[in-house]
Amino acid sequence: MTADSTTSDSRDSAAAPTAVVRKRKGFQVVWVIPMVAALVGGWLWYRALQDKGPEITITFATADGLEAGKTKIKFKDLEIGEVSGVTLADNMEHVIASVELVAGSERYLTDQTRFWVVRPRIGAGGISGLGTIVSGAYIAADVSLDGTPAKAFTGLEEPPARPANAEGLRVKLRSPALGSINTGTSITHLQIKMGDVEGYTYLRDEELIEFDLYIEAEYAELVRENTRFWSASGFDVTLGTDGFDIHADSLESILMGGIAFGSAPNETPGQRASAGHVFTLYDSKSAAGEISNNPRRTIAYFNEPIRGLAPGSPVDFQGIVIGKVLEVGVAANRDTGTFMIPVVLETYPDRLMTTDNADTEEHGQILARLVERGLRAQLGPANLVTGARSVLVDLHPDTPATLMGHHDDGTPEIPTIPSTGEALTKMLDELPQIVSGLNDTVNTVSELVSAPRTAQTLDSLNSASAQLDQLLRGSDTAMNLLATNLPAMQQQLSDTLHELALSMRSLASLTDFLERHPEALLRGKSASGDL
Amino acid sequence: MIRTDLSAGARRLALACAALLVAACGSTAPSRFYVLTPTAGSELGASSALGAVALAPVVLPRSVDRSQIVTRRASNEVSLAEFARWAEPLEENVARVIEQNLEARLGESSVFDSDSRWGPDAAFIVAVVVQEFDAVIDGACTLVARLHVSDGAGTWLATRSVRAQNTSSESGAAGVAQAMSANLHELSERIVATLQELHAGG
Repeated sequence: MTADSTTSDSRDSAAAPTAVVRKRKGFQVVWVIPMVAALVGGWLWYRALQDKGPEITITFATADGLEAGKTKIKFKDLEIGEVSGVTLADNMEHVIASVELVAGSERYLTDQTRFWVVRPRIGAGGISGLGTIVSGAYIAADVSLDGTPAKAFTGLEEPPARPANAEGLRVKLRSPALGSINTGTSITHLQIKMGDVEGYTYLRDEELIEFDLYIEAEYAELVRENTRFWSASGFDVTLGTDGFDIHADSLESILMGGIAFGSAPNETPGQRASAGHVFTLYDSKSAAGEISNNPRRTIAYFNEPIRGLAPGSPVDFQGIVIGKVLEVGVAANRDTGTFMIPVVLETYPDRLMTTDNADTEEHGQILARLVERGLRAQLGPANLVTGARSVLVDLHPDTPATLMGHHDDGTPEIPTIPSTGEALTKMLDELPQIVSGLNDTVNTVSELVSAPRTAQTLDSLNSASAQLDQLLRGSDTAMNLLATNLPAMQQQLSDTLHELALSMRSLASLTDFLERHPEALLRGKSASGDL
Repeated sequence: MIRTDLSAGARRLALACAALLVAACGSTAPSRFYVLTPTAGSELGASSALGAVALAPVVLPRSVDRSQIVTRRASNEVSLAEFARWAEPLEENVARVIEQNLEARLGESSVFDSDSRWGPDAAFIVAVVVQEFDAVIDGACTLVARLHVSDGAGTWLATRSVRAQNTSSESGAAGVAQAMSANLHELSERIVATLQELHAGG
């Protein structure tokens, strides 16, 4: 030990150690950690900035269902953002929702993009948004790539019927009154729903309502320029010459009204209607069908009372309405002192004959040719309920064509024949004959009754009843005999019942004793303790 | 030894069987039958033209209406005599005795069953409901009954309560039959008295 310390001492004194400071080159490894942390943090910050989408504002009338941090924005049910705040507008009239959208939303933020709040709604088109009862309201977006970029939007109070870029046909329809038509009312053809009413505006100058109709793209070609639209709302009760006509379309249209369209009969379809074409709404299908482009006037003189015929009464050709009565008058013939009733008819040749004929020939010429072949007008039978009548036009080749020729304005005339009612009157004239025949029959019956043979028959009936009386008396005796024997039978029955009662009694006695002394079966009755 | 034991057991068993057989073949004592009787030698009373009297079926308490003679042993206990029996159903016996008693007093053409088909229209209908038929061996036998009297049309006229008690000189079941017959005689007398009273009154 001593030796060691000595040597160390000597070494210290020989060379005093000096600290050599060495400068470290490069950087310390330990600095890598904060740098990586900073890089990661920076990258995260960059990502966050990168992910942050655009912020927009949407104005709504109320904040019903809107909640900051909760209410989502959805497009085609895909979440594209969230409401970050709801504030009141400066003028206190509406609320402004601030919305943070996901990154990449910028390109569809145009002024065509629409936003609305989806909540449960019951409307003309049905019930919608039921799912939001559970999930809460959300803001739906209908994005459009057209239009100029925008950052502030006004939310729709009602959900739009369909996307703005729907490819159907949009036309206008004018009506003097709103009726039961509303936004969402169906437009049907052959009772198939082909579109609906998107909205309506009141045209102040024309005093009309103009509906915006939307026809689905696949049915757009059905709408031609001469297509008729009529109201198919609810019930349609018509009191016409053919009685009450109650007509109803689908249940939906009964409840909510409806518009139907179609082409008038015997009309060639016109050009395809272009977007924005304006149509007229007719009150009913018959009203829509009645209007013809080419009405013709015809005159007919009737020789009989025309009670029940009035302007508007139909002109009927073999069951097809081909026109209507325009006016009814009365004309006196001074020479003969008789009265005639001229009836002016309006007929639609389009319905009666092929159009190519009508083009080449005059109406009068065609009519003259038809009259030659037997075309006559006749008053139709009165409707039993309403008493209304129609004018029947038909071919009666065997009847004379008596033309009056009083018309002076060149209106062609159609000859008339008496109505069936008139024929009935003639038949009534023959009634006295029938009555006298009936009288004869009554006389014959009377003779038959007074004949001696009838008296004989009655006599034999009398004797038959006497015999019946005797028979009944015989049966009476038999009944008496039976009654005499009855007491004996009764006695026997009574005895039998008595015997039966005694048997039951002794049986009861036996079972009672055996119950008390079962051993008696083996040992017999014991007399102990008895009397 | 074992054999002896066995034979002793067998002997005992045979003896027991024989005793049982003898016991089983023990004969049953003969039954005796009794009837209630109308009072013999009753004088024909003053048949004061009461008219026909119809007797409705007599009703007895179910407890005594048996073939066995039912006697009272203690105040609330009765006993059924298996070897001393009524010769006919007691209700019928009682009804017949009353009928015969009344006949003796009123004349033979005056008393009928109410359900009888052979008889004139009744002036009175008498219904007897026995409430107590209390027989005591070698003691006093009690009969408590209710009389309901109505006219021929069935209109109620009167109801009387009758209580009769007799003791027989004879002993046993024969004594019971005799005492009860005497009770029925008293009851019949009471019926006649009631009818006469009603006849005089109405």
